[in-house]
Amino acid sequence: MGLADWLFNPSGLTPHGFCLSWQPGLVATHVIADTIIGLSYFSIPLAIAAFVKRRPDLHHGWMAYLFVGFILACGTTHLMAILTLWAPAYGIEAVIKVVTAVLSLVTAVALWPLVPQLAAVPSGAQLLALNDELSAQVEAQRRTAELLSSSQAELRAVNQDLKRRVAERTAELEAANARLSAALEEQASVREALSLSEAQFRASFEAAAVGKVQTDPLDGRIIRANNAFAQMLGYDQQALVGRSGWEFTHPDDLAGDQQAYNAVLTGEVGAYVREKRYVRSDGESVWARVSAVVVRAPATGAPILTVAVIENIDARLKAQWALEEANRDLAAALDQRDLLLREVYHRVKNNLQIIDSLLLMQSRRLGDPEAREALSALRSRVYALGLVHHQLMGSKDLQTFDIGPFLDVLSRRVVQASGGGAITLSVDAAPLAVGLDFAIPLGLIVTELVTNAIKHAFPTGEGHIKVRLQTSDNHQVLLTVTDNGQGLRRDDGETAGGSLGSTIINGLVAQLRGKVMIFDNGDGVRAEVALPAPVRP
Amino acid sequence: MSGLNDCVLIVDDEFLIAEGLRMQVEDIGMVVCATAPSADEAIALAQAHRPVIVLMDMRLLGEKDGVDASLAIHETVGSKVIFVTGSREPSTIARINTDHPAGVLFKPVAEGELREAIEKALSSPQPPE
Repeated sequence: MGLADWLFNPSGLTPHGFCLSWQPGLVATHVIADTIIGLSYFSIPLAIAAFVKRRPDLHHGWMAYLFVGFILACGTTHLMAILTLWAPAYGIEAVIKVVTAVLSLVTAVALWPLVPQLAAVPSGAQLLALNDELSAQVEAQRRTAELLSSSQAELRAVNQDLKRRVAERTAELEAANARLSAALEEQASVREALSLSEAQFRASFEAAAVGKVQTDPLDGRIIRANNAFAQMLGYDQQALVGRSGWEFTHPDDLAGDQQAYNAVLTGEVGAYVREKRYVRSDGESVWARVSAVVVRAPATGAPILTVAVIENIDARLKAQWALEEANRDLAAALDQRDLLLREVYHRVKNNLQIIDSLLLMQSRRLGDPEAREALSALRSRVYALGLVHHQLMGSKDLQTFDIGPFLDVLSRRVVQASGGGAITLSVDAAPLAVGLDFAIPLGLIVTELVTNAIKHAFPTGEGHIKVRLQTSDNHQVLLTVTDNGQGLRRDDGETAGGSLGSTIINGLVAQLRGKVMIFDNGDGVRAEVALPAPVRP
Repeated sequence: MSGLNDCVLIVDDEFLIAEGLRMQVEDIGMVVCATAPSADEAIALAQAHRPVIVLMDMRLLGEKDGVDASLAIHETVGSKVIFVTGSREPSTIARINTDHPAGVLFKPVAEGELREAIEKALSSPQPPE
């Protein structure tokens, strides 16, 4: 018999059921129990293996696999027990039991030495407790850290605040320092300016061309006087110091001056300004213009010092008085002259009126119409002379008058005297100031020209005469007398050369250095007289 | 003014001037009732003749001047007074104008000027008192 037969050939052996006499109850119970045991023994090691697989940290995990192998082997023996109920495979069963025995033995042997080691492995509860303790410690540590961090933040804040306050204080100190420096600098420059202005004041006080004096405001004693003032009074500069300014005032001016000064001292008036007399060392009086102010203490207003500027106006004042007197004399002389001139003009006019009366009286005695006409022409000329004097008398300076109104009145009176009621007249004269020397010849020329026009131009007694006087920039005067009459006639030939009127016109135009031209332009006669303008007297 | 005569009183201290004026008045066709060289005579003659026109010089013989005479004549007779003066002093003109003059003529008086003044005086109404 071979090993294989021993293992798998059951011949000759009886199944285990036979031992049980095939009693169904026994057989079934064995089968059920072995099935449950076998299956359970298969399940348990699977669970253990799954557990160990999930917990690789387990100490002595190999021990667990020993348990897996040994339980699986136990399970197989129970399944083999079911088989052997019907099949007498006791060889296989024996092999399986041997395997199982080996595994059990190994496990049993290996387990004992492990007991102390496994016992040393801490339990879950211990681990939990340990964990709790650890957590508590961690928590405590965290709190400590928190506290630490918050106290650190506080510390930082305090630190920052401190830094800021230090910075502020430093800035304040720097500003105070800068102010102090500026104040010191200013004080220095003020001191410098003060000393400069003091020097300037001393120089201007001493070198001034006008007198300058400082006095005690109450008793008037001179504290300081400059050279100009000392010279004005004829004293030595130092001799004045200590004496009262009033000592040198002219006695006649003293009362008024002191009254005016007291008004300044009491504050009624801001400044003392007087023109007054001083008495010099030689006894002569000298006129001066004094301006004084009282310097007062800023706090109390009490007078401290009187400062005066004294200008020597003696020469100026005396010159002014002399001039005023001369002017008065001159004005009086002028008035006297005006009075005399008016009287002369008045008498001239009166005499001309007498001449006019004489001519009129003579004319009454004449039977010859031509002679009467000649006398009438003479009266016109006399009137022209009288009118010039009348204009002069009405003028402001009694020497010149405007030619316009004169020519107007003169021409009208000539026309009126002729009795020519139907003859019209227009006079147009530019403004021109004339004196006696120009006005008398011109007045006589106009009289003759207008008389001529009346006499010869208008046989019907009707017509128009235009008198015009123009001035030009080149100092020329142009007189035109125009009529719209019949023009020049042969039988008027006498007017061209021989008549008295022509003689007068030609002579007077020549006297005035002028030229006369007569135009007959078909619709009347135009006489033009060009003259140099009169030179103003 | 009623009761005035159609004649002219001439007041001037210069004979020749008074005579010349008389002739001019006569040429106009009026009658000269008298001539007087002083204010007092002028007033007396004006009151005696009651002339409608008086030709009055300013400067007269004696203390009084033409305006004095004119004021008196204006008060007592009511004649129209035409001043004939050689002066044109502003003070004289101002004095003449206090007396409502019927006219003012300046010597020498032009031919026709007197006629114009007399005609104007006669045609104008009596100045208000």
